[in-house]
Amino acid sequence: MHWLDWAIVAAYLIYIVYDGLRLTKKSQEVEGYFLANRSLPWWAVGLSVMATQLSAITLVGTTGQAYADGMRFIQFYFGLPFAMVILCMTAVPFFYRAKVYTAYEYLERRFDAKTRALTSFFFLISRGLACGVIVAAPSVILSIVFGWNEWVTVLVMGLSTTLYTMFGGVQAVTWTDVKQMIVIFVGLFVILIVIIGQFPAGVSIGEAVSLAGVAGRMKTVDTSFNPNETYTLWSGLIGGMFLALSYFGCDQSQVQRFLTARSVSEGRVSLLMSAFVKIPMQVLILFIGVMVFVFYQFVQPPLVFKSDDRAKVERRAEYQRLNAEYEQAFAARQQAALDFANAGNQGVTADAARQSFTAANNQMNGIRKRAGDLVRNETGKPFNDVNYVFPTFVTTYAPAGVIGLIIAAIFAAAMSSVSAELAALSTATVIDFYRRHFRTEAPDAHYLMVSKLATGFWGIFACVVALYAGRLGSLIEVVNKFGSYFYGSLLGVFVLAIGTRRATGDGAFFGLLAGIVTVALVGNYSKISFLWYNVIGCVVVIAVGMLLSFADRK
Amino acid sequence: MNEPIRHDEEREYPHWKRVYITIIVYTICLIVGLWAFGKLFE
Repeated sequence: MHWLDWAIVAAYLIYIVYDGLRLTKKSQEVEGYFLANRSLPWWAVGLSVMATQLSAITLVGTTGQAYADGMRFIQFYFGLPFAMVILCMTAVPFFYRAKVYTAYEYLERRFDAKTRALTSFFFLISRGLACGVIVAAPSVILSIVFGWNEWVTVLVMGLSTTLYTMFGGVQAVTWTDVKQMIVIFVGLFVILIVIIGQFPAGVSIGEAVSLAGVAGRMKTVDTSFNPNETYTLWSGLIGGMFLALSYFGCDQSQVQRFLTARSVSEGRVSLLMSAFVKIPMQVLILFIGVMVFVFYQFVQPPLVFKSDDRAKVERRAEYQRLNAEYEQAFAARQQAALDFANAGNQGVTADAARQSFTAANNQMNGIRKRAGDLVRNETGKPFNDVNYVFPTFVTTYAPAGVIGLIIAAIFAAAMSSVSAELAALSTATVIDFYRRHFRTEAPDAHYLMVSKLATGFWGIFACVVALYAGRLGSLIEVVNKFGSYFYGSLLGVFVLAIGTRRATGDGAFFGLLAGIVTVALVGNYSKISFLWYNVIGCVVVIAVGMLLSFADRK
Repeated sequence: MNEPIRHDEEREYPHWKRVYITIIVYTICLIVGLWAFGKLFE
């Protein structure tokens, strides 16, 4: 890597840690440490909400997914704006005016201590592990692509984030999130310009989009109602809305964001900012992946993007035969792509080029699949290299300086998510367990010290998980799937708490357990897409919770 | 819906419903636009 790239990455890391640490003086009591004394402006909270959700997995995995599968993934976000509107009408004013530190704290006021403890415990387990995956994902990818030591990458990313979150509290989380979002946006726009600038002379953006369309990469909306299909209009609208309701309304890492706002109104606007910006931003990220796909129509892509897997099979005769076939198919596809672009997407020449292009593209996909099978047989693990497409492109074709900027953006995406998770994990640990069950009366300074220690503990826990979670398969879906087992059920408990008067503590408690068990069974014994788990979990908790509550009262 | 425990009341912006409707209409337009864009290049 060029010295300029190292300098950019180092400057980013040093500045972010310094920026977070200098906010330590504003976090001298528990309310300042966990809620920034409810003093933050809507735009900072709004950017923090977006930065928390946008992890490095989203950035790297989504571009790779667009390369392999096109824009269909955008449907995942269709339900988000509707969820934000519902939350602005319900959860935001409700939690804000209740003056709680954690969402689960309210459940004790409404139900009982055991329901609060159970929900908070599930949050700690699921998000503590997810936090490790968020650190692991970019570390594994960067270590393979750049040949970096995975341990060093995990520790640099995890410990630097832990350091500023531990001392600066939620103030540091929010204000570093703002800067990290700027780095991410600048990185995305710069890399898009770099990709488009490397198209052959005569290939315009319009022709590039047409070419992507011929290869099926521009299909955005699938209206079929198939619950086994992951990304459709309906799974995005309904399942995605339930997921967003659960994540933004019941997950402490997001609830804590709007609790730091100056007022209910500013809390609402911070969420509505995501409702406005999230879909266009994801379109931009996916579009970058599609443009990488178009770029590789004119420059031969590797047969296998994941270099360590490739190294295991590239000496085998079968791989070399596949590679030779791949080169021939690429030459045919490249010529067809150029013919299609030169024909201006119209007329008999364009139709012939389109057919040749489709045939060659299908042939290349077939060869790549066979190469994937070869890797799978060799390694004994499922093969998936979509997470390596974007980093491989950046390291191979981006100029010096841009590589550093993109690595800084990947670091920023990971660190912004991790810092918010650490702050939330620490808040739940101290407020829901330590102050509630172990040391109920103590000076504020004592709780502040314990809060910092809790942040440090969860940071180290995340690093340890990250060092062992590196081979979890398709990284982009791992975190979402993991959350889906709990999220829908958690949402059901809050619906019972806020939306009904009849629900009892026992109803909510056992309803939650029933919801989680049901989703686990559905997840393991059916082919229903994970986006529907949230709907199932929520409905089961409400149904079981209400039934038990009625039985309780009789 | 259950009432939260209120410590202080702020002056509420009176037109939140209009904001919510704007976001819903905007999102529907965005989805239809994306669908049409995809169809155009299929």
